[in-house]
Amino acid sequence: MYEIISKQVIGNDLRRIEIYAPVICSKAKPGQFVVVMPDEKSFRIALAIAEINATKETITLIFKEDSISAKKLGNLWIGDSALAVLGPLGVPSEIDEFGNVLCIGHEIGVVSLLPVCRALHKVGNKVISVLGTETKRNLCLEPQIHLCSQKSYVMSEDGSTGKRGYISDALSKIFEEQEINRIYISGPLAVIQEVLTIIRDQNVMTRVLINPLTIDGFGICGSDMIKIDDQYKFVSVDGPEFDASQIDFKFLEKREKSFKK
Amino acid sequence: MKHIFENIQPLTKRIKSFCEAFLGLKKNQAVLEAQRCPQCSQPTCIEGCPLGVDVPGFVRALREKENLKALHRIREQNSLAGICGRICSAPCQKACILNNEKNGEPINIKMLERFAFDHGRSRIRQLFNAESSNRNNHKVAIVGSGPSGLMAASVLVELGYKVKIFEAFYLPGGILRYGIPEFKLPKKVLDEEIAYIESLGVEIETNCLVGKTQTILDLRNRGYEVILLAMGSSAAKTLDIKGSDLKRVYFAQEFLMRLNLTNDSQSIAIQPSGFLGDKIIIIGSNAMAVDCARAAIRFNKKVVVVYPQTEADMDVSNVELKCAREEGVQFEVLVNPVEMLSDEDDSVKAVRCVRMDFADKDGKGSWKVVPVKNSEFLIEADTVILSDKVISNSLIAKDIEGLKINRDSSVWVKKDQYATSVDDIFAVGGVVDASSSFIEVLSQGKKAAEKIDSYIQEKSKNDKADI
Repeated sequence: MYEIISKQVIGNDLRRIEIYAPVICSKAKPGQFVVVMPDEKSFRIALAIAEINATKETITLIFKEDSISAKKLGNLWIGDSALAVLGPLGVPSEIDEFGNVLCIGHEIGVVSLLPVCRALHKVGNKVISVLGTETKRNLCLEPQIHLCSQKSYVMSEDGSTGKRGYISDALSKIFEEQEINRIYISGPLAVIQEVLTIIRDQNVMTRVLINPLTIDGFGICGSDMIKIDDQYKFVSVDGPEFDASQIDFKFLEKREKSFKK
Repeated sequence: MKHIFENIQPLTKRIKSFCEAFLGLKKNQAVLEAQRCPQCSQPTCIEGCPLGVDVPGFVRALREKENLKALHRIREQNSLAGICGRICSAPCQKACILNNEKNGEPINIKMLERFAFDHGRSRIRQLFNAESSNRNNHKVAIVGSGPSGLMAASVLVELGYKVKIFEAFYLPGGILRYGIPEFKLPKKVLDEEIAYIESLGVEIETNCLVGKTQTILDLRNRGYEVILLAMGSSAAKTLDIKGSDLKRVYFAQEFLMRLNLTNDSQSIAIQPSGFLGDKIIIIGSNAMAVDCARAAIRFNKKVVVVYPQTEADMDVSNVELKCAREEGVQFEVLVNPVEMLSDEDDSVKAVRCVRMDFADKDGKGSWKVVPVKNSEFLIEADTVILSDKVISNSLIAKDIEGLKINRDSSVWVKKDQYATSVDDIFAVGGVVDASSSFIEVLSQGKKAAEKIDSYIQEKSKNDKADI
C-alpha cells in the first residue's frame, strides 16, 4: 500500500504529501509524474513527482486541492494509504550540460520544475530561476529552487514575496546580463504563452512542461492528446516535456477547457 | 418448435439505472431452449465457436438440469463463461443448423452459456482441484489483464506454468472493467471470473505499468522466460473530421473509462466539470458506440448515433440495437459526418452531415455507398463522442528494444505464431489486431498460450541437449 509518511499544508489549498513507494522511487527520473487515486470512488489525478527520497523510499507530491479527488487526497492523514499510485510515467527530461539555463515557474507549476532544476544544476549548468505568483501563499518550493539556482528571482503581483511584478518584468534584465542557452517553463497555459511571446526574439531552445489531463496515465483514453508539429501525441506518453516551438497551443487550450465549465 | 426468450429489465427501470439490462433465462426457459437443440452428429456450432466449446455437450447437460456439469463442460475450453454469456457476438449461433429460414431461430447458445454460469458458479469449485498438480518451474509474465491476457493465463496455468499478470490499473480486467458499462457486464460477474482464474494459481500484480514501473529487463531478471503482451487497444491518434479538435469532443474510451473508473456510475452526472452536454452525437458503428449511447441515455440526454453505412453493417447484435432504440437512442444510418461546427467559445454546437446511398458509379455492378448530392443537413449537439477509431496499444514498444511495430501501430507477430520480433516476447489480442472481436481475442489468447508452451518446451529441450 502507498502509505502517507508525512503531510504539510504549505499554502493556499496547497498540500505536500510524502508517500512510501519504493518501486516508483527507485525508477523515477526528473520530469516524470505519477497518477494517484486516493480511494475507490475518486478520479485519478496526474501529479508531478516533486522530490524523491531514496533512503526513505518515498516520493513527494505537491498539489492544489482544486477538485473533489484532490481534496480526498489532501484529507488523508499520516499512516493512511492512497488506493493506487501508478508510475513513474512519461518521458524523463533530457538533462545535459547546456550552459546557462533559465527555469521559469508559476505557482503550482514550480512543482514539476524543481526536479528538472536540480538535475540541471547537478550536471554543472548555471541555473537562473524566475518564479512568479499572484501572492506568497500560492507559491511553493521557493527555498528549494533557490538552492539549485545560481541566481533566482521571485515576482509576486501583490509584492508579498520577492519583488512586486510579473515574470516578464524579470526576463529583460536576465537576457541583458547573460546569454541563455536553454529555457524551461512550467505553469498555467496563459502564463506559458505570455512568456513565450516575450522570449520569442531570443531564439533559444525552449522546453515546456505540460500538466497531463490523463485518466489512465499511459495514453489509452486519449484525453491528454496534444498536437506537436502537426502530429497528434499524448502528453502522458510522449511528454510531459515538449519543444515550445512545436506545440499547438490553440488545440491544447481547447482540450483543457473541455473539462471545465 | 421455436422459443425466443428475451428477458429484459422493464424499460422504465433500466433507463434510470445501470443495473444489468438483460436478465438471464429462467430455469424452465433454459430447459425448453436446451431441448430445442437437435444434438447434431457433426455439430456446426462447435466449428463456429473460435474456442471450440462443446456446445451440444453442455446443452445436453442443461437439458438434464445438470448446470454444474454444463459449466464444467464449457470451462474445459473457455474459462470466461460468465463474461462470454453476456458480451460474446455468438458466432456459434450463426453457425447453428437451425439458423435458416426453414428452421427459424438458432439455439440461444449465448444465453444458455450464461445460464450455466449463473446457476453453476456457486458450486463450481466442487469439480476441480484449484492447484494444478503438474506444476513446472517455468515462469510466464503477461502484460495486461484484459480478455486475451486472462484467457492465456488460465490456459498456461493449467499447463503447469507459473503465471503472473501485470496490470496498470488498480483492479484487473482491462477493457472488461474499464470499457464496458455495468448494465452490459456487471463488475460482480467480472470479479467472480477473475477470482476463478486466480484460484487456478494465476497471480495478478496491479498498479504496475510494464515498461515504466517494471521494465522488460526487470521481468527477465525476475526469471520470466516468456513475456506475453496483451495490452489491448487505445484511442487513435487521428481526428479525421474537420472540427474534431473542438471543446466537448471526446473519445469513446475516455467516456467509458470515466464512467467505469468510479464504482458509482452516477457520479459522472454530477461531475463538477459538466463533462456531458444535453444533446450528444456518437459517431461510430461498433459495440462501443452503442455502449456509449446507452450509457448517455441513462443520464437523461438526447443521443443520436451517426453512421455512414447501413444498419446491417453495424458491428452490433440486433437485440442490442433493439434495446438501444427502446431506450431512446436515435440512429442516423447512411449519414456521414463531415464537419463539426463551433460556437463563439470553441465548443461544438452542431455536426454537419451528408446523406449516403448506394450507387453503381461505373455501371459494373459494384455498388458502393456514396454521398447524395445536396443532401447536407445539421444535427445540433453540445457533445460529440468519437467511437470509430481504435488502434493497437503498442505504447510499450518505446520501452522494448527491437520490437517491430506495423504501420497501423500494431505489434508485428509471425502469422498464427504470436511470436514478436523479440525472441522471448509474444503478443496477442488488440495489441496485434485492434479490430478483433471479443471471442476472437479469447481464441487468440488460448492459441498464444499453446504456442508459448511449445516455445518453452522446445527451448528447455535444446538447453538440456547443450548440457
